[in-house]
Parts: sequence; structure tokens; C-alpha cells
Amino acid sequence: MSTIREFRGLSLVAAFLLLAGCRQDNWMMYGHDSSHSAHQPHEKTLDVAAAGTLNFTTTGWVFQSGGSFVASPTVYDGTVYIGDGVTGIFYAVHARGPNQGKIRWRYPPAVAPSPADACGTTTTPLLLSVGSGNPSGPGIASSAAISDDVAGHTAVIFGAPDPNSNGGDGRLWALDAQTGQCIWKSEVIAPTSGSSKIGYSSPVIAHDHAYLGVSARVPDAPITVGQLFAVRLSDGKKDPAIPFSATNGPAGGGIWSSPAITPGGHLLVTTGNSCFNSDPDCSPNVPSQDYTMSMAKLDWHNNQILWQLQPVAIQHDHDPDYAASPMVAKTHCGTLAIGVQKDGYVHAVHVRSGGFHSNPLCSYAGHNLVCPHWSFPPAPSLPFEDDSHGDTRFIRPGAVDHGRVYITGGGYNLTAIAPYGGAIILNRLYSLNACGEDHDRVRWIYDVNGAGAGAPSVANGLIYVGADTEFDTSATPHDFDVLADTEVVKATKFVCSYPQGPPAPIPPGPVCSAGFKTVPVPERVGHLTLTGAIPGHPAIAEGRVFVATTAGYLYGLAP
Amino acid sequence: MKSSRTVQSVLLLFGSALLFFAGCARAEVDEEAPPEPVRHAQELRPPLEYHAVEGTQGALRQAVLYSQKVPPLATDLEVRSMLVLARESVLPTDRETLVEVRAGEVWTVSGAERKAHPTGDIWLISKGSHVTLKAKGEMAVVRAISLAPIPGR
Repeated sequence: MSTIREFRGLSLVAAFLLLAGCRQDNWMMYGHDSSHSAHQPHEKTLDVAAAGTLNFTTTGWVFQSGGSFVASPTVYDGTVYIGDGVTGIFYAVHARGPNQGKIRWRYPPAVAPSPADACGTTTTPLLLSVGSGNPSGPGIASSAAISDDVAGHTAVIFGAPDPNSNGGDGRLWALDAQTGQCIWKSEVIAPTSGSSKIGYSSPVIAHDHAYLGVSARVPDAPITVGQLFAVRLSDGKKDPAIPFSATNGPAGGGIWSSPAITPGGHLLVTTGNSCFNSDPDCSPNVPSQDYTMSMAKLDWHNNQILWQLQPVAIQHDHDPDYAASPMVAKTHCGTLAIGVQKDGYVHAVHVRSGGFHSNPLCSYAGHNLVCPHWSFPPAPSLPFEDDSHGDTRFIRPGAVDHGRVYITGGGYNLTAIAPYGGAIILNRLYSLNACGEDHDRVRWIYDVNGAGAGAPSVANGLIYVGADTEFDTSATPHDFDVLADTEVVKATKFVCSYPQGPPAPIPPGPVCSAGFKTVPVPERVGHLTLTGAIPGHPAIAEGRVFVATTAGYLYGLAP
Repeated sequence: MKSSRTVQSVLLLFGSALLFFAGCARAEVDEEAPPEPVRHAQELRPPLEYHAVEGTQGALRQAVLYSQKVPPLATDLEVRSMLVLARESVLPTDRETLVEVRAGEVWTVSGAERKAHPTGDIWLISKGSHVTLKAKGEMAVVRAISLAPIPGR
């Protein structure tokens, strides 16, 4: 009898441990997880009906910081974590319960700790006072990551200026997730004496390290050497085996994005432009180690390049670099690294095992590059060497749910062909088939009502996306939509899409001709008007959706 | 009997630990890739050589893509690619010039008029007008197609 009781008791313990072993409904870092899929695979509450009832007025809540959120929210164990890009305050806000929408703690605290803590914490906000021209703002643009193994604490980790160090030297900060007490601040990563800054790059956690990159403090004035740093979770020290530098010659290759981790534990980075054309004083010589404007896989053991994709040759660098973070998609056609460049081209590369990999068909003098598995729009010949690849502001990353990619893209030859449009379309969210042929790439398209579309997130076949107006921090209304993938709700509207080939006028739908293909428009199953632009990923966790806006509003949307 | 229960308990605890780690286990390593799609070799062109436009301190640089006399029209036709940086610079207007933004976005100031030109925008700049260009972002590329009378005709 007692054996049965013991068995039952231990079974209950086992079930608890199984569930507690991984709090799977959290949103642990930028893009949900280290693949940056922006996909919440464990969401069960939010179905089509529930998504239509999301609100912040009755069951949900709204919190105002008084500043601006350019980072994306992170959610862990009933708390939302996010830093303010203007005020330099990092917030932990109750996600649910009687105190939902209220501050759990803030950093720096209103009263400095006494005696002083390990970080020398004061009440001064985490602001850069030396040349804060980077559009990421003077405060905290780096989204937080959660790690349960930081010197015995569960910690929230993010990049921010240190106001007590040379006017804002850039560091990583590790705060206790429950109390907000500072566990450590890292060694200086972006000194104000240099030209770099921790901008939008958000840490990704792997191998007992936090990895993040640095970019120019003032965009391209001067341009900086892009570097990836690894900081030990145990004590905040930099790992000397890293950093990775994007060039060994003239500056270039700033890392504005957040690195991702491949299934094998390697690092995936996207890099910014070189100084080749943007700086008249830059050396006209191509650096012998040129990893600018690239998506690259690095061996996490020794930071060696395992492959590099550089779709635009450096001589044609007109600023089409990567601002958006890469994402890793596990699909039935293999594991793909996917990213959008500022010129709007989405390239997908097989992650591959081993290395070094290259293909002469996509390489050029001094560069050993890989070919993408596919590009959208199609790019049958790489690297590009025409002058139409530039800063066209496709800077928001996508989301991916197995083989279904959701991303704002569309290269010059797809959306900006005068006189057939003549304008870049930044508000068109595409769903792409990661495993299809070029002619079958587009699954559906949806035009967000706004100047641009923010970074989407996906859960349960529903796509959450906000309208974005770049650099706008005003309290203006912006749409927030919930779309049902066409595999969840059958589409009733169709439009013509042009996946490849020469430009042509868009024929009247729904019957498409001249190479256009009829594609569905997904049903909008939820809609809210929120205050401020929504550039970042919504966080989907614990049956709710958390959205941050550049007007300093943080929403907890509940069904 | 007691030792049997102890063994059972140990086994159950061991199983529990396995379940705990299974709850958060990494997906199996999957980085293998199928064969690459077929691509055709390409012949790369030599890169363009851009030269600073006089008086712009390098904020405006250009490379001539095509230059041709057109006798029936009594004109010189010239096609140039121009790099525009984020500093205002005066565009030489010694000829009628059709401008197209090929990459990025450009601000123009002509008299009191300030206008943004996104990628794909095409407009005409008259000979002798005073126009300044500036990239809205870090850099922009414009294609300039100019027509000028052949000297002496």
C-alpha cells in the first residue's frame, strides 16, 4: 500500500518536474528563442476566436514609461521585461494577476542600494551622454534575454550604456529577474572613446555565454568595425576566444542585429556595410578579411567563419547591408538561415554541417562565398553588381513556423519599378514558402495599414504584426493586427503577386496574367489601435500578447 | 522489502530526472543540407571607378557609364551613376539632366522647395538651375542621364 502511495507521489513529482523542466510558454529573448524564429510553439489559449477578443481595456492592461520602447518585450514567469530607449530605465512589469501592468521593479532603482552593490549601482539612468546620434537612441534598445544560470540567479541580461563610466561605455547588464538587483555588469564592450555602441543588438544565450554585437555609435560617421563579443554568464568577463571582427582593414560590418544560434550551437550573424563607398576617406582597397554586408556562420569554439553569404559585392556597396537579425528555420527541406537585407532581398542559406563551405558560382575576387538556397525575389546570379541595391529600409526581421516564413521584403525589381509603382512598399507582409520553388515562393501577402510593418510573431497559426513608422516616437495611433494563416482560415480574398521576372503593370485581379500569380490575402481575425509605432516583435506568452511601442506604451493584451 | 522499495524509489527519481531534462532537451542537431540548386557561372564586370565631383569634398561622386555623341540630335548623351552621401552638395547643372534614384532616398533643395525622392523616383533637372542633393539615409545612388548640345553645332 505504501509502495503505491510512494509511486503516486513520485509520479506527481515526475510530472511536475517534466512541466517545470522547461517553462515552455515564456518568451525568453529577442525573437522568442536562440533561433529568433519569433514563433511560440506552445501557445494553446489563443485561437482564432480568442485572438479576436484581445484587449487592453478590460482583461488586459497598458503601462506607460514616458519614454520610447524600441526594444521588444521579453516575458518570463509572469513578468514582462523591457528597457526604455529614451529614458534609460529598465522595467520589470507584472504580466498578469492583481498587479498586472504595474512595475515589479525598475533599474536603476529610485533609491541607490546601501551598501553599494557589485555594479556600483546609482540612481542615474542608463543613458549615453557622448554622441548618442545612433537612431537606437541614448538609452536601452537591446532586448533582454533570460538565463537561469547566472552566478546562482535567474537573470535578465541586456546591453546598455553605463552612465557612471566615461559618459556611457556600453556593457551587458545582468539583473536578478525577481528582485532587479544587479548581479554583474560586464567588462566594457563599446567604450565611448571608440566609435561603437551596443545599439539594437540583443544578447543571445548559449554555451554559458551571452553573445552580442556592436555597431556605429553615429551611423557611418564614422563607420565602425563590427564585432561580436562573448561574455561569460558566471562573472561578466569577456571571453578572449571571441570577438569576431567583420574586417581586418578599413572599418565596416557593424552588427546592428542579434546573433542567432544554429541547431549545432554555432553562431549566425548579419553585418552592416563597409566604408568602401560611404566614406570618401576609406581605403579603396578591399580588406583581405571582408565579412561586411553578410550573413555568416561562425564556429562557436573559435569564431572561425564556416560560411559567408555576401549577396552584393563590396565594390557595389551602396548600403544594402543587414540591419535585421537572422533567423534559423527547421523545415522539411533542411535547416535554413534566413535574413532580409536593407535592399529588400530575402536570402535563405542551408545552415550546413562542418565547414568551411563556399561555391565559386557566388564568389568573386578575394571572397569565398556560399550561394543561397533561394532568394526572394529570385536572384539567379550572385553577387549583385548593379547599382540598385541600397538602403531601402527593409530592416525588420521576420518570423518562421517550420516552412512558413513571414517577413517584410521585396527587392527593387519587385516593388519599386517606376512607373509601375515607383515606391518602396515597406508595409507588405509576405508569407513565403521556405521549401517551394521560386514560382511558388509567395504563399500570401498582406498590406499592414501603415507606413511600414513591424517585426511579426507567430503562434498557433496566427500572425501578430503592428504598423511601424520609422523614427516616429509620437503618440499617434497605429494598427495592430492578428492574421490567420491561410492554412488556419481559408482566404476569401485574392490579389495578384509578381514573384519573378521583368516588371509589368499589375493587372486587375482576381484573374492574374502576364506572369502574375494569384495569391490569397489572409483573414484578419483581430485588430486593435495602439498608441505609437510598433517596430519590434510582439511577445506571445502565457496566453497573452505583449506589445511595445515607440511612444513608450507597453501593452498586455488578454483575451 | 525495504531495499526493494528503495530501489524503486531511486529508479523513479532517476526517471523523473530524465523527464526533467527531456522537458527542455535541445532538438537533435540538424545541419545537413541537400544539394545546392543549379546555378550558371557569371562573368563579373569590373567595378566602377567613382571620382569626386568638383567642389563637393567627396559627398557626391560619379562614374560615367555611357557617353555618346548623337549627331542627328546634335547632342552629347551621357549616362552617369552618382553616389550621394548624407551631406548637402551642389549638383552641377551644365546640361539638362534626367535623374532616377536607384538606391536609397534623396533630398533635393531647389530654391525654397525641399523634396524627398524615394527609390524609383524620376525627375528632370533643368540646365542652369541650382540644386543641392543629400542622401536621406547614409548613402543613395542616382542615375543621371544628361543631354548637352555638341560644342560648335
